[in-house]
Amino acid sequence: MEHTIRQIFHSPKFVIGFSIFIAVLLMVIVYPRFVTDPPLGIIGQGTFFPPGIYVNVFDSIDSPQYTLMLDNAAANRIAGKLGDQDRLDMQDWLLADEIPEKQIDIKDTAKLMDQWVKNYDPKLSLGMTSAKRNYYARLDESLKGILGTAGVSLATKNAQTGALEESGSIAQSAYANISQVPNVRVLPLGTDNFGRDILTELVSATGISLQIGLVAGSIATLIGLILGLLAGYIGGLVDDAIMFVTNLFTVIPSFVLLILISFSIGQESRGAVTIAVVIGLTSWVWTARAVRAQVFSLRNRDHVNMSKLSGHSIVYIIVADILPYIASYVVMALILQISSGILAEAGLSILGLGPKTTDVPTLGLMMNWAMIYSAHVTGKWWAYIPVLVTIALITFSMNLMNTGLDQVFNPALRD
Amino acid sequence: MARVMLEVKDLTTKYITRFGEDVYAVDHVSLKVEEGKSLGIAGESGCGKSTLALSLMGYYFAPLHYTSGEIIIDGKNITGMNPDDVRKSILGTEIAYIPQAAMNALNPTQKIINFIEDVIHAHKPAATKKEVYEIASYGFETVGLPAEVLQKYPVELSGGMKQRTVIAISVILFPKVLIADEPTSALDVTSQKLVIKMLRDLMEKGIIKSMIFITHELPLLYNVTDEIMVMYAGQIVERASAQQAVFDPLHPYSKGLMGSIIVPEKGLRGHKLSAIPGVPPNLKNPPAGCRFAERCKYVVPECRVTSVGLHELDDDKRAYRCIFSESELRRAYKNA
Repeated sequence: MEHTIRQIFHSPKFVIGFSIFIAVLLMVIVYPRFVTDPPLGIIGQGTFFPPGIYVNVFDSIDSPQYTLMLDNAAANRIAGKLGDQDRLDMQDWLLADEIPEKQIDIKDTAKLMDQWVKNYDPKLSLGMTSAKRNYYARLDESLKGILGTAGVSLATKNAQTGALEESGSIAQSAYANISQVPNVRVLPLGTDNFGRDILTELVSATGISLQIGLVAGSIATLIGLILGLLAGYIGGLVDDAIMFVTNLFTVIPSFVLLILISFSIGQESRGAVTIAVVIGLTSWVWTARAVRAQVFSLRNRDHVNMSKLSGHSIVYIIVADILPYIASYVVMALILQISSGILAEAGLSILGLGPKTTDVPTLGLMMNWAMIYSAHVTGKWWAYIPVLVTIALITFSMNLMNTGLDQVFNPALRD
Repeated sequence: MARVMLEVKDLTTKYITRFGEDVYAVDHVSLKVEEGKSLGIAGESGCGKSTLALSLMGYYFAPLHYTSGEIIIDGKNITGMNPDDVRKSILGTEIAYIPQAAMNALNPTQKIINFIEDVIHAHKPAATKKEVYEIASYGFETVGLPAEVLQKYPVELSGGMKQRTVIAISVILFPKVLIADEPTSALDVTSQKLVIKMLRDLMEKGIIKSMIFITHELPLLYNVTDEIMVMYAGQIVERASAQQAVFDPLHPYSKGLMGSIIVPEKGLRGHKLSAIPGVPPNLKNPPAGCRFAERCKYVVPECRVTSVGLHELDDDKRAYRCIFSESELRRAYKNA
């Protein structure tokens, strides 16, 4: 036993897969200890806030101000405020003013502003309509505002008179220390369509999906193992009957069966466990077939015959004389079943046939939500890429572990 | 006259195939083994040797079925006994069995002591672990195996060691009759020698009272046994003392079998090896006459129609199954 374990951990594939899996598992266990928010709590009013650090504006006004004289602050500010559309419009005007296209670089904010300030003249018509001329006049005004160096004045309403009274000002060079701002929220992966923190949701969903995979995989492996053992060892009529059922399940595509069953259960009564059980009940077929084939080759081994001769019961012979031989295979099958269970859940949920959406998040449900709110069309990558990566990591790590185990246990692959 | 340890009278057992056909693999076999004696059973593959061994234990499971005959072990008739009683009171103490390819008979996931515990618990369900260990280590010491083997897994033992361990487990309760079914077939010559020496020791020390030794290696039989029985197609075709069976066989089949032995000698290379042509008949529908007729060199038309019984010679010390008389056979062999 010790030797086997040492051998397993000498397989690089297994170790890599195992490390990834443990990392995912640790994330699922440790993260909720630090972030105790409910995973489905709606915190954002609006959809798809991009990832970042969210600082409370009101609090930062009140927090101590520090003056930092930084050279590139103005340039960064202008670059941040100047939108893509404004840049394109500026380019159009400059081109109309016969400035060679090669000299214009709309990415270089400082140069563009410089060219604009030097060349723009509201009196030039350049063959434009008056509406267009007015538009450029307004654009010029707003650019002047951007270039301005004045700060912002703060005013509060007098409670008695209702008049605004200046209560302070914020210079362009004023800074607040983020650790002195009472309310800062880090949203590493932004928010989803309902305004929920995606990272918290993702961690919780990974946990639930792993549970679904584990339950589905265990059920599938257990059913497959029991039926395979019985069919293979007893043979005869029992084998014929079990193989009849197995063949029936083989020819019906299990995913179609899964969809039909989930659909007939109905949205309201579909919980995570129900889905797991349904997945387990439809995916045992290949395990049963493989186990049966293995048991077939074992049932006439001499030690099995001796066990029979010693009067042991069928259950004892199966458990003590046959099961140890296929145990390594069963473990590998279980790992594969878990990962395919997770994939099946994701597949079901993305079609809207997953667990009830109000209870728990799952990886498939998160994909479903992202898809319904067209995150993939509008480029809100943070709503679905992290989910995809998580699913890929889990299945990849499990398949790696499986190949690693296979190399240890399968004599044909041993080097 | 010495005590008879095992007596079998007209034992017939059959296999029932998937399609309901009867195959009589042991057909009216009678034999007798006296105390302190050993009996060898020879014959080529598929002659019913191993089936006879299984049948002798009185413990049948599908597809093997008991048909008729009697098995008497040390005066106790075990025919028709409930299989569970056979297992609890006969196997291990009265009669023990060393399976063919015994090395594979040990489940590799169990320690040796567990097999012995299993044997002892069948007879003494209340035995504690300590008692089991005492019986086991005493038994192992008696047969000349170190007691450390008890705590090992079968994979930790060499082939010959495994074989001897299996023998030691079979005789742990000092059975009266030991049936050894090809105990040396998968071993190299030195391990074979150790196994044979061990079996002889068992007889000499009185751990077992008598032995039935099944093999297709005739020199081995001559070395170990007192009497040899040659089987063909489920029937006994010849019974004789070891000396006679090897050096003076009467039945054409025994003659052929002895002729097929390869003895290393000068000029053997390149020589044509003699063998018996053909294969044993299908026992689903055995031939009406002599079962060996198809392959016999001395066959005459009557052979194919007349069924022959065992002719007894020398006051039942010897018997053979052929329509020819002893003198006719000897003449035929001389002319050949």
